[in-house]
Amino acid sequence: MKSLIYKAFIKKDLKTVFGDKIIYLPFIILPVIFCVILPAGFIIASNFMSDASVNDNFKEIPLPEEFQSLNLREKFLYLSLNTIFPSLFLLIPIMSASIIAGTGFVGEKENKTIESILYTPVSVSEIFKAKVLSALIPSILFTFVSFIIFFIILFIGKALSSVEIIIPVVKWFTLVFWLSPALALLAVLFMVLVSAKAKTFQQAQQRIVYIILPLIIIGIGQISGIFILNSLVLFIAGILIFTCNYFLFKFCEQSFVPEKLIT
Amino acid sequence: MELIKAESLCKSFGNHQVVKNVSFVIPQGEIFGFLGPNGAGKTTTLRLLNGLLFPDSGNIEINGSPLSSENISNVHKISGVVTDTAEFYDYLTGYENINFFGQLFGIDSENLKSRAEYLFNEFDIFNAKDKIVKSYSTGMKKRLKLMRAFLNEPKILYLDEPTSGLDPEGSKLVNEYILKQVSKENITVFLCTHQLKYAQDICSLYGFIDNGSMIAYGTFDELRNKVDDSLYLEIKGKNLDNSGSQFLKLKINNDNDASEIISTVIKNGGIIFEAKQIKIDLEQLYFKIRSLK
Repeated sequence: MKSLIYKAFIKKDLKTVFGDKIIYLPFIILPVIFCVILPAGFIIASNFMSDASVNDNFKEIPLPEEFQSLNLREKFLYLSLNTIFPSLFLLIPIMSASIIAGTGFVGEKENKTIESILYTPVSVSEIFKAKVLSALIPSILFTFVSFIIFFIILFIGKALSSVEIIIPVVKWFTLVFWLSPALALLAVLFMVLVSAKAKTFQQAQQRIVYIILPLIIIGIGQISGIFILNSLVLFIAGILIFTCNYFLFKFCEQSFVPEKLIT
Repeated sequence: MELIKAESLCKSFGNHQVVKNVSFVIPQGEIFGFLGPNGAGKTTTLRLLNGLLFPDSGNIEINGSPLSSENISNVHKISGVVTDTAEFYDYLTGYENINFFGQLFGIDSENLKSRAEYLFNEFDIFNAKDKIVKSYSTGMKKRLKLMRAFLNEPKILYLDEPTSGLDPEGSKLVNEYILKQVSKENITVFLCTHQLKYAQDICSLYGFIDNGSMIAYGTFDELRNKVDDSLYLEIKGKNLDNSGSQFLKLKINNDNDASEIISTVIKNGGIIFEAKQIKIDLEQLYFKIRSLK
């Protein structure tokens, strides 16, 4: 019974998102830019550049020892794809989760559909869980699909490129299958929190910048060589975010009461 | 059997008391007209009866059981609600919307399909079922809401201005359907409206609410007896009095009074097209009761 309700919510929320161009366009644009255009661009650029044209900053970024023997173009590609790119990639679960959760929570309030749901026999707590899942599951699947597309581009690049492409599989897998779901859930819960105050979907959407900003700082940190995130750091970050999510979930669940939603 | 029982309900939002000590009982099969101006507390009472809000004090019994957070699901299973504050998903079709809410009511897919098709036909919007709700007119949306309220074959129907936005044809269709369900399935209706003529056509029990307080409650005859049980004679015609009036409304005590007035009018050269005895109507009753408070 519960799974049927969750399924109904997921189906309905996805249809609502994909019914409105303004909402779903970022969905399509983000992965196309991050998983196709950018990585392909990096690979193509590395094939046409000379070692001399590689920015000095790249030369100074401390790489793991096993990669010290790479030439500058290979270093450029390694750093582009595996240090700068991951923080951009993490925007995919955050943005997709926040878009679905935004329409799911704020949108329901804005369009007066939440009261319709509250008149059904589904309990408020089940509605809350269903709505969290209906934002979380599609955004995680969407992230996985984006990752597969990204990997396909990398493997095509590997076959065609004259510059060696090194793919740190453990790091990417930790990022995609551990950190991304944690961040997606964080984004969903953040939207629930924001939805209590925001009156429109756009207002709520603007506040997601509070999650994106730290990622951008991390991205800049990577480019400037201040720190390089390895698999262990990503794994620990995932644990911290999941722990934070647990408390946030409990808090949001308790504040999800009809009186606050309809008045 | 008393299907809805509200006892001394009070509800405030901040310092503003929206519902003040409201009590009423609605037996099964009755259509209860909950009448009052906008902002009187009708929608808040409807939400209290459905457990979307909890009263600050007072008790509610639905179908013989006290309403509590534990049995809200059971109450919703036997209820259907139509209100302007409970909308549809604009980007889903009428059928997709109905299908979604049907699933939340736990109706299995086969029954849901046949029930939905039956109701789309009954409410005369079958041809629009595959169009997105955004493209529906106000009247079509209202029909779809009524359809959704009947989806789970409810024992109690809560209707908040059910015919607003409907054309006369739509109103007639909806009223006929509601009355048919009341007589056939013995459902109980809680109807909030400020359209008094409409309420008089359909309701069997009334509650007048003003500024959060229930100022009168009872059947039409009970309420009328409280304020005015006079008879009136209404005459339409030509030259009905010295000033040449075409319409007269006079208070009478009995049939003899009526007969005398008619004779006098004719004797004085008046022409009568229509003459009828009427009692005070709901609208007059409503304003009279409000003016007394």
